[in-house]
Amino acid sequence: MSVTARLLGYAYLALICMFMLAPIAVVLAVSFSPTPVFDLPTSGASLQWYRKLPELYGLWDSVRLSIEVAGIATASSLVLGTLCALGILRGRFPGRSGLLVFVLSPMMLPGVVLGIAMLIAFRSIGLVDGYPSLILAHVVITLPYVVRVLYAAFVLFDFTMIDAARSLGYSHARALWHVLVPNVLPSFLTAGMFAFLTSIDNYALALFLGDVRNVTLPIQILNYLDRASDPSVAAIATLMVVVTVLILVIAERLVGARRLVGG
Amino acid sequence: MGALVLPATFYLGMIFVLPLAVLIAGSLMVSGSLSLEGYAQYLGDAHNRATVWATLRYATLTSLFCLFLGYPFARLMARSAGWVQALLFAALLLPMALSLMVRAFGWTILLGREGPINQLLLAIGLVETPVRLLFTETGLILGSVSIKLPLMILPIFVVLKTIPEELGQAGASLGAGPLYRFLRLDLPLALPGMLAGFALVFSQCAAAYVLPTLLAGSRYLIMSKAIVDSYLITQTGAVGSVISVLLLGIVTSVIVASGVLARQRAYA
Repeated sequence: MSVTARLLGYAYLALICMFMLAPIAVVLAVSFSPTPVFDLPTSGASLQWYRKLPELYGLWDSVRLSIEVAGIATASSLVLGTLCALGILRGRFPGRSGLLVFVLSPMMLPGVVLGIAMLIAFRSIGLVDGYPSLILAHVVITLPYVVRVLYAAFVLFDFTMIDAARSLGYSHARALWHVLVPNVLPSFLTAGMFAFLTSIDNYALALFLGDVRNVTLPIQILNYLDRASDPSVAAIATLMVVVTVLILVIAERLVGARRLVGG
Repeated sequence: MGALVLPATFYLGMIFVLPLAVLIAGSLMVSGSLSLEGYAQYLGDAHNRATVWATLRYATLTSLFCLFLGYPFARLMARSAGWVQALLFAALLLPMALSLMVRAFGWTILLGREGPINQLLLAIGLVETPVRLLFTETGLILGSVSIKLPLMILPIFVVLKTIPEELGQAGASLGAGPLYRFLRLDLPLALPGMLAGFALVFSQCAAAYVLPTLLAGSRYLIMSKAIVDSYLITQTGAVGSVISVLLLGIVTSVIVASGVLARQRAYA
């Protein structure tokens, strides 16, 4: 490839990266704005919007609710999903590939439709409390991520190693714990991270299933934006960027970047 | 071992399949008897047909722009050196892992009247007065393409990565020009990734609620908004079920069609 073609290629890559990262950059910049409009801080920076965060109505409650729901949903779908992935791969029954497609399908279907369907179903059996509704619903949308990542991990795992460990005197449980678990642990963590991020970011289900006492973080941000007050939303968003970067860096250290995209 | 699938299958049966079945059944029930009257009524109204059309248009245009911008990116990325690739990975991964709220909010600032895009256009003299971008379809598609691009790039990158570079060189040494190599080598090989990316972007856009609301405004009518309004604002649940099932049908057909096409290519 000629030098010009190579340079043009790099220019294109850089341009598209800027296009994808621009909304993040602008949020970071606005959060330090010295004026109460969504302005880029050209005349000095200010931390006033960060200082205002504790006064924002309902912010802390939403953060706590979102973390709780995501935590419980992730833990539940890790248990259900790991067993399910193992069963689909190692089981001997017809329709296993169909079952895999079925378990992964909530990931692709419209969230608003799932939200409505669950709202009608939950109300009809008298479940009106937002908290259990959100958890029940979030397990459905986090489960596919767990199954997809762990199924891929189990496909790569050589199950004869367990037989080898057993023939060397390990019990079945010990063989699983010492051979299978260390092998799939990185995938388990990756699956958990995807599930957690999916749950934290979901708005479609919470739009229907949340109530006034259970407002998740994405819905709360929508409320703040609706009132369009001042750049304190940008301060929240900046903190979310920081947390996301931290999660990614930790995940990269633990399991490697390739596994995060290859999933 | 097969019994291990039972807890998850039972769970999805109760909390996923049953609610969807009730929703679909509800959309087919008109005053106690089974009929398609609800659908006929909904689609009989020109205003509603415009809503369906706007949804299809938005999802199709966004997916096509993502495809045209994303393919060259994935192609260049697959041929890049290790450290460049790692950097590009990070540039794709960060927005994907970051909350949609943050990115959508960022685009409301970028598209604003006094926003960076307008300032840039004014500075280079392309326009005389600020252009209206926020609350237009152009603004919505611009923001959506930026936000959904990683979903198109990654599946294409994954398939292109598996094609050895020597294949193109072999083609060139046999006298195939760049266009011929693109049409007969890269394109057929990349097609499964392109179809997967298209299905992903299309299904997410067709169902999007936050992006259209924030970037195109409350007057831009698309199906997901009509669904939410019907339940939470106007309390006309029956109409909401009909739109929900239509949307479910549209998304499912695009996903199934792309899967079938990808499989056909694989066997051809």
